[in-house]
Amino acid sequence: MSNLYFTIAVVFFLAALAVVLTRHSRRLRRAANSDWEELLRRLEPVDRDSIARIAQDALGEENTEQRFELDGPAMSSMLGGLEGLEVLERNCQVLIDLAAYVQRWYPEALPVAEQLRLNARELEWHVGRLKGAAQTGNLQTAFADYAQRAVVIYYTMAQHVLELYTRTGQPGLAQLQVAL
Amino acid sequence: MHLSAIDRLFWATGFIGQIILLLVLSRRGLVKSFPIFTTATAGSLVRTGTMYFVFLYGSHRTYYYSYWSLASLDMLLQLGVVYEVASHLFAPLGRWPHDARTSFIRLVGISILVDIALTALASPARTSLMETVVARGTFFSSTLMTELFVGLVALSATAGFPWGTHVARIAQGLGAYSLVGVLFDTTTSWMGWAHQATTIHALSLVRIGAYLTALTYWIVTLWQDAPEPRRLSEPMRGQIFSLNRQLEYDLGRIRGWRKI
Repeated sequence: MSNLYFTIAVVFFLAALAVVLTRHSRRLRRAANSDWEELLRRLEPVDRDSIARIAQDALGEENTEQRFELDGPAMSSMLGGLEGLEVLERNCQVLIDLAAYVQRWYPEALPVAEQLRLNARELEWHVGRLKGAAQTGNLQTAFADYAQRAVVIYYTMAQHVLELYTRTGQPGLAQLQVAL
Repeated sequence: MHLSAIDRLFWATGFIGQIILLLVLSRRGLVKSFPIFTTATAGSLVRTGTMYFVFLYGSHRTYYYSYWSLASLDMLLQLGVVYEVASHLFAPLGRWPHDARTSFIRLVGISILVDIALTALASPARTSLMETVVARGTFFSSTLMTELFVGLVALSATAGFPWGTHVARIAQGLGAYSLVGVLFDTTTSWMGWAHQATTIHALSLVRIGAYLTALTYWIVTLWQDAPEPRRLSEPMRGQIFSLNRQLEYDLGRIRGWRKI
């Protein structure tokens, strides 16, 4: 009887491993084989002007009146609410893949990819807090707290990926500038 | 003790395959890049040779102790290979990123815990303590290797680490062979040597066949050239460094906001 439990446990264990392996292998294969065009296609369209405006609102000169003028509802309408932030979250993964794309030929670009991963994780954390707030009905009050940080992180990441492509002399920089 | 013709063939093929793999590693200049994998291959070669003579001329007891001493060493070396694969994957420049190191340690810890639970559940139909220990031990080893392989794939895919050509081949061979090991140990846990020795022996040949396939896969794929990475010029490297510092600074600044 105990052998039966053991076999069932192993079957579940192997099924779980198979699911994890299939899912992630597909992603790995896609990242390894994706060409430049495909990576750009994965970037979902965002309102760049709104993102820049929200980011600049926070990144302006310190101790000036012009900083932090935008409130939660204004940011929410500019970004398209929580859905807009989820788009940024998905685009972050593409930004990491874009850095990994450079890393394929230049392993020395690794630290930049590492830092981008940390940034992406931080952005996910902020979006996660907003999702939690949405469930408890506090999205509007929490939006200003977390959305601007998330947008600034995304904006910074996009700028740094562009910098990385500029500095390593990667072709397709103009296309990337348009896509981001 | 008796060895059939097919046993001898498999034993000889493994021995020759391991020698060829060592030659490939040496001729393609991979010994320096994969010292642990090379040591593990050399260890397997010594093990194959030693066990052949112990099997033929030693007692049952000598075989058991030799098998376990060498199998334990082999498992440690295989764990070393997993670490080597992870190092190539996550630390190609020699320094482990903080997030990757934490995730890797967590992966190893969770894998060991899951393994202990699964091995504790196993109750192989063996007649002696010696057989039970062998069955549980090999199951633990195969399961751990399989888990670590899948875990590495998941970690690298999630974090966006590209797999180098040779590293991927080594990991795939090891992962596939370990998976066959898990299937073998699970299937044979129902069987006792006293009544189903022939079936267990036939299945063990399948397992050895899987190892020989992995060996051939390594020989073929490691012989092929991996794409040469490009080197950044000194000014470009400096620029990448300053870009990274800027990223770190920006992130710190965002964290330090007090207004929102």
